[in-house]
Amino acid sequence: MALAGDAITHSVLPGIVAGFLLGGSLDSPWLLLGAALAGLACVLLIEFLHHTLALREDAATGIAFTTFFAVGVLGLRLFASKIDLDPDCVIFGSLETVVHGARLSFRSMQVPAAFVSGAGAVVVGVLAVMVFGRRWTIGAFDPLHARCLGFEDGRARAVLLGWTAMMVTSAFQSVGAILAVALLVQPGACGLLVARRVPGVLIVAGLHSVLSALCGFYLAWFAAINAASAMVLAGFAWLCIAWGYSLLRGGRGA
Amino acid sequence: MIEWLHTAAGTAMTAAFLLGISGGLTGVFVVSRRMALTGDMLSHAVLPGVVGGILWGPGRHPLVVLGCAVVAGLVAAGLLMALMRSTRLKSDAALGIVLSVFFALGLAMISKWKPGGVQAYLFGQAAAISSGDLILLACSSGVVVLGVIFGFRVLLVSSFDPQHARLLGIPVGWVDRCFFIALSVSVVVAMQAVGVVLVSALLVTPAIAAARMSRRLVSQAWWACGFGVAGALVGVWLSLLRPGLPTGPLMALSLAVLFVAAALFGPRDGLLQRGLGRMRQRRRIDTENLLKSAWVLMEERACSELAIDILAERVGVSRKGIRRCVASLVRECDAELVESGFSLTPSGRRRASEIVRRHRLWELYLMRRADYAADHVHDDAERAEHWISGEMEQGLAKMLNHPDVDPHGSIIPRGVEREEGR
Repeated sequence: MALAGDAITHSVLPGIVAGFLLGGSLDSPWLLLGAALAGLACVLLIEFLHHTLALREDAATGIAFTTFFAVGVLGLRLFASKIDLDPDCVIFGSLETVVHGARLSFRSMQVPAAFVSGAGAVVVGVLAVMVFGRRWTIGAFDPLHARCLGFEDGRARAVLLGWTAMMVTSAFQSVGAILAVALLVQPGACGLLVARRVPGVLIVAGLHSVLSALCGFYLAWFAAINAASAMVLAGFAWLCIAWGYSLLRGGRGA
Repeated sequence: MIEWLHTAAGTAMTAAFLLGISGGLTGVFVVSRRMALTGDMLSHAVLPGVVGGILWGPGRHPLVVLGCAVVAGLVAAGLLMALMRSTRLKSDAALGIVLSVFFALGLAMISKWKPGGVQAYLFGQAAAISSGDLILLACSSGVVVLGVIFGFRVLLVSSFDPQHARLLGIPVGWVDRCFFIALSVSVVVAMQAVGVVLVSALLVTPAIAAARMSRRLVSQAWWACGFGVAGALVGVWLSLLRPGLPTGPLMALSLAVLFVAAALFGPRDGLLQRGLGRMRQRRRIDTENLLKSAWVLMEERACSELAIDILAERVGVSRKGIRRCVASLVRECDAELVESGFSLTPSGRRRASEIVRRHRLWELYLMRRADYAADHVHDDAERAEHWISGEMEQGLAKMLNHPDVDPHGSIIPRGVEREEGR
């Protein structure tokens, strides 16, 4: 599903623009709702193209997310006067501003909005993994078995997709649309390389994202570069270590 | 002509034309090699090369930028290969990692050194294309077109059946490498016009739309060129209508509209065609069912005329619906209206008796040869009677020794026409 994640990160843009027009500010709930709906619509479009028109999955993904992204960028430009959402933000993200705000408000114990949505996404994510973890695990590795056990594939899948869209929206402000996919894929890949069992994978993935975030901030401060990209680069460094470990242990990391 | 080329509109239009051709042609092979997402990866991964090329010299020389970008693309491809060979990561996860890492590297370089002119590559600005870029674009499109024309067979075979190509003595590895370099070049030149993300649209959408138009790769290539050029030109034209409209998204959207049109009206499995076919089939089945019911009723009552009411009662459909069906039967000369209702013409009788014959033959076949119980065969035969062909009907009759009576004791009508013809 790594590329469904990529597709969603691009396709939430029109939803965010529409949410912005409705809500009027960056931290209105409309933004989250719009993004989730747009992400869901994109996934449905991919499924439709794949099943009804018998397009291959990669082609269907390519066509769907570019269309959504195009609508989003067009909306950004058309309503540029009403939205102070910077197009640069779409690509670069603006983690610095978030961090800056956080430091200022930390002393007065006020937490900025971006932190709230981020923390909310984390809490919901952990809860969802606890509730649905087993279903997702089985569903991801063996959909047929999941259906035999009587799990409704659709509902767990919808929650997973909805959560992904939510996470992407909260990540959007900080790291931008394109690098959000790194935050989705890298920890998971790292976990898969190091651990063999699903709980282990989840723990390693969590550890990886925290470590890469910390190292990324340090790197950004040290080299004076964009924090989001530094975070991704640091994450890749950790991933390389995991890669080396899996190679040393022998086999194809299996 | 030359003056027009130097205006902003002229440059943008020419660029769109060239991009449409090279994007469409490359895209056909990208899609048939299932590399749609690799194309997307490539458009992100060349960013560090682009930034490096811009930083290299004082002026933004297109050729230097292109060279650096292609090198970055090749390094990314190498990393992707290494990741996929030595780990158990799936290709999509590996693509996601390579894409984001290279893109992050590019962004880090941008934020560190803040080079000018990257904006065009990130968001795409057809208006910002210089005459130097245009010449480069023309050259690369020319190379792509020539390469496809002269290497069509080789590309075709190695795209669809690498094993066979190897047997033919084609150096598949080198073909793949050349194709990858050509793809990187197309991606880099297209990025300037449409931006990082929407390069995929220029590659994938025309090719997919073309696949709805034809099965053969040669004509798909023609169609893809046509769609690519049309979409790109319409996009540029729309963006010139009002200042401040972005070119890339408008191109992507007009291409998407073309794809929707191709999916709806395309001769190859078009949705409209499929829907029409389904409707026609449903109408045929309804008509056949009505003919059959009428025939059976006439058989039971030993009469040749039937009132609409009685038929409606038997079939369980409103009188209005029956009247409409009968009207269409009359139009096809299978029935004629009489005072008390309607009667079947000889051609209608023949059609009806054929269906009844198939129904009863199938029932008998299921009982004798497939060990069905007598009360289970009817529903199956209700479906089978519509798709049993004349040839199959003859085979069934022969296999069952030309029976006269079906399992329920009804007479199996003779195949009138064929008996006479023999």
